Amino acid sequence: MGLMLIAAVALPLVGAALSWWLRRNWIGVASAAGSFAALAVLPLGRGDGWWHAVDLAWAPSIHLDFSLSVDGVSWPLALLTALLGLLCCVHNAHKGASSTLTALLLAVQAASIAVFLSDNLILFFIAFEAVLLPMWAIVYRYGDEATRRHAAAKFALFTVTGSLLMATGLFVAVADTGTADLGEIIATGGVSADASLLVFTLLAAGFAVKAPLWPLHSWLPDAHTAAPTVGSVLLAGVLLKLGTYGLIRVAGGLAPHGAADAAPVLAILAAIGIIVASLVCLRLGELKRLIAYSSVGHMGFVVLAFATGTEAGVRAALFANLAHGLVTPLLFFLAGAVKDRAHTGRLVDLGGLRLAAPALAGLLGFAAFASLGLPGLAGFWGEAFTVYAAVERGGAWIALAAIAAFGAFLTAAYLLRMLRRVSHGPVAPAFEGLGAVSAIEFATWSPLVAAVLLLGLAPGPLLDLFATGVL
Amino acid sequence: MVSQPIDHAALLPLYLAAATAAVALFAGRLAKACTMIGLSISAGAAIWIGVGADRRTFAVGEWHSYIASDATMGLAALFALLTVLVAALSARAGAEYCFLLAASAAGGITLAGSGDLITLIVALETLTVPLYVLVTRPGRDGAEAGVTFLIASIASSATALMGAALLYAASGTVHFAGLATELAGAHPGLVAAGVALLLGGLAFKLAAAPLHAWAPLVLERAPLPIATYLASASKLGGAVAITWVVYFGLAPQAGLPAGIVLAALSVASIAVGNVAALVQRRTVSLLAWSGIAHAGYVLAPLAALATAAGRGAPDAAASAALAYAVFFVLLEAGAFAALTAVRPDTETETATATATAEKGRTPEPLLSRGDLSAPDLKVNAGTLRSSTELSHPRATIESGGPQGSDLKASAGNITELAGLFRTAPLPATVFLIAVVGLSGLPPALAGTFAKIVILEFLASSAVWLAIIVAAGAIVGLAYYLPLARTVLLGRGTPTPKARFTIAVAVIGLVLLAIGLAPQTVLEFTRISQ
Amino acid sequence: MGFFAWALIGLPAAAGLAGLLIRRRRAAAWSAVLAPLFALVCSIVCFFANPFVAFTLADFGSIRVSAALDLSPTASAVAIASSLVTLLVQLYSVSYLRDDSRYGPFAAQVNLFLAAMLVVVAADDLVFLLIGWEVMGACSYLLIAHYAKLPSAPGSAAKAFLVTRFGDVAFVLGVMVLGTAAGTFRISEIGDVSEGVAAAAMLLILFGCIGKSAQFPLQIWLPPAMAGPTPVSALIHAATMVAAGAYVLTRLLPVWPTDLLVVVALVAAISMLGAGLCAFAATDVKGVLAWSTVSQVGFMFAAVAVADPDAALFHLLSHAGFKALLFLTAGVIIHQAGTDGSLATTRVRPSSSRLAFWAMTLGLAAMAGIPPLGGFYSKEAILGAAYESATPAGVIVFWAGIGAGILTAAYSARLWLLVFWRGGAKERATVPLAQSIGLWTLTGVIVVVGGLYFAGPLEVPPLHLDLMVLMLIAVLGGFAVVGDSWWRDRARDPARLLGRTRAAFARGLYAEALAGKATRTGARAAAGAASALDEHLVDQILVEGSARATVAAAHRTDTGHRGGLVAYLRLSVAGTLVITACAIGVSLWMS
Repeated sequence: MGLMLIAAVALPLVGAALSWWLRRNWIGVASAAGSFAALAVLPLGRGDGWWHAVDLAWAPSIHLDFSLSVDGVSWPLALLTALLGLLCCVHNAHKGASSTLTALLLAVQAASIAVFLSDNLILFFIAFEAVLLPMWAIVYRYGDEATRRHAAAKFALFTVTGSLLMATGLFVAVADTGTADLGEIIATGGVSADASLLVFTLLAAGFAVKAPLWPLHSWLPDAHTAAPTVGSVLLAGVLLKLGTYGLIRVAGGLAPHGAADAAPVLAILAAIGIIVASLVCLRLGELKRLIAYSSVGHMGFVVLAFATGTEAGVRAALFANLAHGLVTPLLFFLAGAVKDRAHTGRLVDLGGLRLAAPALAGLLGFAAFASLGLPGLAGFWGEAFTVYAAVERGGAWIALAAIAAFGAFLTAAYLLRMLRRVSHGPVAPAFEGLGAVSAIEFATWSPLVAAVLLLGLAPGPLLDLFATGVL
Repeated sequence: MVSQPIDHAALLPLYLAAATAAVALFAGRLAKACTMIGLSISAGAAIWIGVGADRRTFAVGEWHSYIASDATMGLAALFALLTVLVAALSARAGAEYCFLLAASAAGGITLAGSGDLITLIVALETLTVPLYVLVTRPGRDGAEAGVTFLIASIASSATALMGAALLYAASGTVHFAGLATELAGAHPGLVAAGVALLLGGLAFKLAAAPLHAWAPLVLERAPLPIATYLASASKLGGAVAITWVVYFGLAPQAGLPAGIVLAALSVASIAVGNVAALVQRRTVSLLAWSGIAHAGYVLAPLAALATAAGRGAPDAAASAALAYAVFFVLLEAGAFAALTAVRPDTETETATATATAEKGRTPEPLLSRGDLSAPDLKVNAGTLRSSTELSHPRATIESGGPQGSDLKASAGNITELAGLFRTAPLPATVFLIAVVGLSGLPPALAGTFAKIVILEFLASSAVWLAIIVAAGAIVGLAYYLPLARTVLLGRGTPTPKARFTIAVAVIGLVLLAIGLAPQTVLEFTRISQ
Repeated sequence: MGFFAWALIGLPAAAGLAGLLIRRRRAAAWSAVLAPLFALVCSIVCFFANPFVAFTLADFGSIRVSAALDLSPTASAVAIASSLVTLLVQLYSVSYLRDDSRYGPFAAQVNLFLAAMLVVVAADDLVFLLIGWEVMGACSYLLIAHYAKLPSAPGSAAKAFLVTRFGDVAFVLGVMVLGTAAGTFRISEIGDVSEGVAAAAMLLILFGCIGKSAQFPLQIWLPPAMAGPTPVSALIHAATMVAAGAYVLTRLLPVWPTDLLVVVALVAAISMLGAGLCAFAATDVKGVLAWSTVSQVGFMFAAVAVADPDAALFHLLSHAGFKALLFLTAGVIIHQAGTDGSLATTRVRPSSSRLAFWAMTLGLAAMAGIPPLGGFYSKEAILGAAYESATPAGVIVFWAGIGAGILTAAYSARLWLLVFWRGGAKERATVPLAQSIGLWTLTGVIVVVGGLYFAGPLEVPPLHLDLMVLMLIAVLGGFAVVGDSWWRDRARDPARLLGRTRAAFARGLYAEALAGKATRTGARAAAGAASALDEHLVDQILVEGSARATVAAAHRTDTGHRGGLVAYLRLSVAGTLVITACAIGVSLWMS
């Protein structure tokens, strides 16, 4: 199984190199599928805690080992990454996009999977940083003509700020504990009490950029809006997860005391983020930007749930994290399909999608409902139990619970506003003669739709997986 | 006078380098080949000696003036090999050129092994003096660069000597091992003054602030192979000198003043270098300014001596500083080597360029062309800029294009590298690896490891310094990324055919190798008493 | 027996989800009709078997969510009503929407709606219940927005969803507070929670129920929801969404601190009376029915306020019957009259369709509370309970109920008179078979539903003769006032009785307009402030500003390094001296 861990990281890398070299998109699809398959078999023969691990020495002087492990917390995220990577590759192949784009996607995928699977803090940092350049190139090279340069630079600078702060925190932790083995540090209860708050602050600041947590989010709307569809999908589905995964697993695991001390600050920022992002969304006039901003609100829920520090809160955070990774990519795929056809994403120019393309409108509605946290779909469990966890803490946390619940209401408000502008009303000129949804498009989207429905109706197995994780 | 046995084996690399210099002088056309072969043998000897047991020689009691340990011999080999690279990158290397280069390398090798302040400073001068000639290109500009370098270097050497003298006054010895013990009872003010002057003087070689400003100026005007040498071997010399002095000599008894001085140097370098690099439009001056910032990173682990935690682990600090220096000079060497390979042959260009230089004397026509590189820097040794130029705000923004230079007005601009990846994939790839590595990002892992090395040490000793380094690296990305982007994605006119394929390929492979196996670098830069 | 419980929910849900993918109309119609039919069968089976099934749906460590179904006889009875009404609505829709190209999704959404309602009815776990609760809201959004060409439909649909979801903010919080305090979400296991927590939780949950049931002050979504097709109105008003709020309150009645029930009573009283007046002044057929729903659901709340859940459920069932009948008949009548349903123009002769006339007449009579129809008994049960409770809540509810009884009679009579007795087209119209089945069935139901009083699963207080007389007097009084007005001047609407307030009541006391305006203004201001904070302050000033400042500093640094060798030497000397001085100073100070 250790081989499968390596394969999950290495296959996309090899695929990236080959598909770029040979200019063939299908190689990318094949390698992404291989990575997905390698990850999919990992639950075989699992137990509690780490399921499987590989550990190869690399540079002992700086505590760097090539050490990959998988457990109930990281596996779903890694699988999600592989799935999104695969879907993006299929999308690319279908659209006849440049094979360089496919290669960059695969590079992002490989690095992200390495982040999720990494059991060594130094390797974690390297993998975390490795996401930056390919993602930057995707935005810069293939993004929206008008805004891509600015957005890409902003993305890169923000991200590197986050990752270097995070790195400092990681190294303080390594210096404090004398080891860089993530699992070992978590098992021994994290860093010493003196260093705990410092480590957590540095790590949280770093991860908060990536997550993103208000007010460190301002790279996100620009980058998501400017990125090509597949770029937005990966940004929303994978990159933000790096931040929240790091926050929950690494920051929370390395510095539990610091996390407890800093929790109120995190929670308040998260609550502000939920409300502010939702309110901003109420007046945004561009489809992709709206979806992008909605991520700030959704990730606010994740951070808030984590900040409560309760068992239910952490599971809710993990669940909301994963749900967002399914729902928002779906929204981005659909928004991309709409923009491809209408050649505009401005809400005032859209309308009547329901009449022009019923299937597309139906899916958009489904995704919007999932995003607003409709019970029975994936978005619900995480957000509802964020509220629960905050109520559970009692006292002033109940106010945060109320804010979060109200944020969910605002989410519904702006998503319905979006649906009203896009789907309802008379058919806009932009939608005249709209192309039907092709079979490949359906095939690309349907796994996400199915997963959203499945997680919404049966959240139990996933929550049980989280319960076995190393936290 | 008691005569003592001298361990000639320990000195073998030095002998070989000196012999190479001598032979090169007589080798005529074969000078380049002789230099490369001779210095390679010297490097091999250094490695051979380094692998064996540690050797010491020139003893005064317990203290030795020349030490051949793993780290020193590794660095000696690196000096020699970097010189080989520079020689390989030199298109028309005459006998005197090779002689000077090999002599400088001999200085570097001595520096690596030096165990007392006098040896160190003499070695450093040996490393530097040949460069006075080498940096000077024909023409007024070259002369200005040479003069600037000469005066700056002499001033800093004087400063360092002054510091050494003060330390001698305080301790009665110049041996590092002696300083380590004898400084104990000395007057703290005297020690601090000595430390500050000595380190300030030595920081010149590394181009650390406040003795940094020569670097952009000289690097840009020097021939590119020599710029490569200045940016790599010469900087390594500065780094090694400071590390040796601080680690072997000052850390035990004068760690605090050394730490404070180094912290000031380091923070100032990081701030000034990074910020100024942001607005550079010329590749070489950008790399030069960023090199100043990297000098700050090199010094940062040693600066941690200012904290109690840092003084507790001086060997880790020195190892981190050295490791970073090694990664850094290799990356710089890669960047400059790639640049050298794709820059039009400057020697042949000189003749035509001098003609255009006359036109460039007034800023207006260049500005009206919308050209970004309005000549703005007037370096007449000893004269200030004229007030008319100060009144040109635009002119002051643009970076150090040499006034009336022997380069074409646009030559050396970053935009010139646009689309290099398509026209010259090999040098472009090496350049990309180097630039991305300098910014510390994967997939150029060499740079990432360099950053990890210092951050990991700083995190355990001086978190505030780690955050400053991190902040510097963030700003660094803001100028490295556009540089990389221009090379990779820019659309521009095709550049001439790449030269020096083998040299560029070798340095590229070295960068890849240390990226995949950083432990090799970390092993030999790990030092202990 | 567990199978039937799961089938009860699973069949409509599966039919609903699958139906969204069905393209062919005939298949869609079959699945539309068969799913509620099976649900009806299952609920009848459950009525006798009373299955109780549960498994863990989600385990959050400190608490778990169970998919728990508790089909007690009362729950089964409500499930039967919901299934039956849905079945009839589906049948009705087959012909009602025969020319509609979007029939397939419509039918599927109705089935999903039923499944959601059945979850609410059967769930024994509050979070599981919440799933049905909100899916129902989402389905109502989809159904109300069904008419693509109607400009007001999307707005009305969004309003319906958002207002109910606004209530759900409180509902979710209440559920979470209750779950935290009780350590479980299972309704059957919620034991003693402290009075304060229970009060907070139940008030929050009440607010959610108010939203769902369109009670005061969240009644604003219901009238515009008439933009949906008439069968949808029948569905929402009769046995599903609007009733769900009252139903949930009855389930949670044991948790209520008794003193706080007066809040429910106030809500119920205001809703009953206010909506009654609005119904009396309403200007179109469906408007009268919509406001009457608010008023009638107020009766259910009233029953809750006097802690008599069975009376509430009884009224829920009888209301389901007559309101479904009224809406379906209204659809037929409006179609016959060929109008948009405005009272000013909608006229049919009783003779033009006997079935429609009698269905409407019986439905209105049941609503007004004429014995022996179901409405009479159910209202009597509520007022009887209020009469006997002897609490402040009981007093409020009792008199408000009497007043609402008068109003109910009045607006029923007005509607009946205005629609049937002002002439109209003479030609005879036939009611399509699929639609007439619904009318016949429901007419039958409302006649027999009174029997529940005597032979049903419900425990209601014995009949009070004095009360029955009082109620009859109230009803007759209401008839008399309207009749008097009508006989005096047939050309004029009896609503003139309201005088100057008529226009205000016709628009629901402007609540909708005011709330809409306030919401829009507030949202605009808040969104503007948030944008200013986020995009301007955080992004432009802090983030981009710091970038600009760095670049400016870079230019200054670069400029500062011009000046050749002299400047270089000055810089170096000054720098070295400063550093040396610092080092000396610190060293001396430290030693």
